[in-house]
Amino acid sequence: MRATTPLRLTASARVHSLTLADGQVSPPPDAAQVVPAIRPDNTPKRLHIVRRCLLSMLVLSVLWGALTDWRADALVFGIPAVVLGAAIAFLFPHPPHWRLSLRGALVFALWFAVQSVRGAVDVALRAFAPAMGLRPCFRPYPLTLPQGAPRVMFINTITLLPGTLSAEVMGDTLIVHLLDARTDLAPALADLDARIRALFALPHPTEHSI
Amino acid sequence: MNTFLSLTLIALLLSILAGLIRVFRGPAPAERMLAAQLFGTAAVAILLVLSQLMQMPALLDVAMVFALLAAVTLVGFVVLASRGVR
Amino acid sequence: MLEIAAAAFIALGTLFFVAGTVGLLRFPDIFCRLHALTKADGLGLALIAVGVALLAGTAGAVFRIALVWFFVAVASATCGHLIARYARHGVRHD
Repeated sequence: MRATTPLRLTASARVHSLTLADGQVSPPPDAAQVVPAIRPDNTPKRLHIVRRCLLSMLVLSVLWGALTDWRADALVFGIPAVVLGAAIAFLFPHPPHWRLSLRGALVFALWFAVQSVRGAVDVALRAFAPAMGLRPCFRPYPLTLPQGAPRVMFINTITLLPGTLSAEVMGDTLIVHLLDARTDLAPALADLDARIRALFALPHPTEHSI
Repeated sequence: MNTFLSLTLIALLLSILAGLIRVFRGPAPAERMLAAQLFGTAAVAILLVLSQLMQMPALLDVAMVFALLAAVTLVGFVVLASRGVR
Repeated sequence: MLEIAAAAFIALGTLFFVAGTVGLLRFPDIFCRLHALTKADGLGLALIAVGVALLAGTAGAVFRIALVWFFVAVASATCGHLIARYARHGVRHD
């Protein structure tokens, strides 16, 4: 479960996007193993940990405060809960660091909203239409995004795009289910790939573009 | 406004009921998982509407707990079912 | 005015829920049904959430509704993927 994404998103640190891209050439199967290689060398490890700790505590306290309407007496439970939550965040495998581009995020959010409306309208029209126009099929698609948040984001977003659903991940290949086999899969997914690279400020893969 | 919200509630409840038809018609575990997902989303929507209809803001907290638990339930469902398959 | 906009959002959202259920009943296989559920119900909930947030008005309520929507959105995409994977393997092992 990636329900902790808001935490991880804010727990961003200064990244070498280049090292991230290098790590993707032959990523080990386990995302947790990629991490040490990705950690940038110029920032001390301790600073990362302190920043991560402070960020997760900040996010959790804002969450707690907003949910309890900033009542002071709720802090009796709030402070231990925040400390415990930050500690639990450390039990998870250390996520690879990344940087979110603010402009990329805004563009992505808008595009995402439009696409998910298009996807829902498409599927709703098919549901009500007498002839549903379904020609379902599975298609493989090579995953080129680095392990971790960018890849998870890619796979989850595909499910909300019109007519596509990510069915299974097999190593570096994603099996996509299509409602209509006549739709062109590759351009849509290459576009999504580029948008997620813009969101995470990742460089474009020049040598092995699709 | 309240009549409108009540009508919305009825429509949402009917869509859950139709999901139950799916469960009875196709008794494969995957069909039940689909119904579980429908119930989770629709129940959250119902709770949101109900919080307005009854003027009970506390129902929003209920909706939040429900949203979190529905996800965990479905994951548990899938894990248990796939253990049964293998 | 605000109430009319909220009512429009909630009505549209309900319509998408109904569409998702109709798809669940009419679509031929489990993967197509999954499309209907994840996409139509997701947007339905988002629209209802916007409508209810417009009616609620207080900052705390709006924050809660946004959080609820976020949880459901992330969970439904992930759970849809889980169900699809399970369905593929179930078919293979039978």
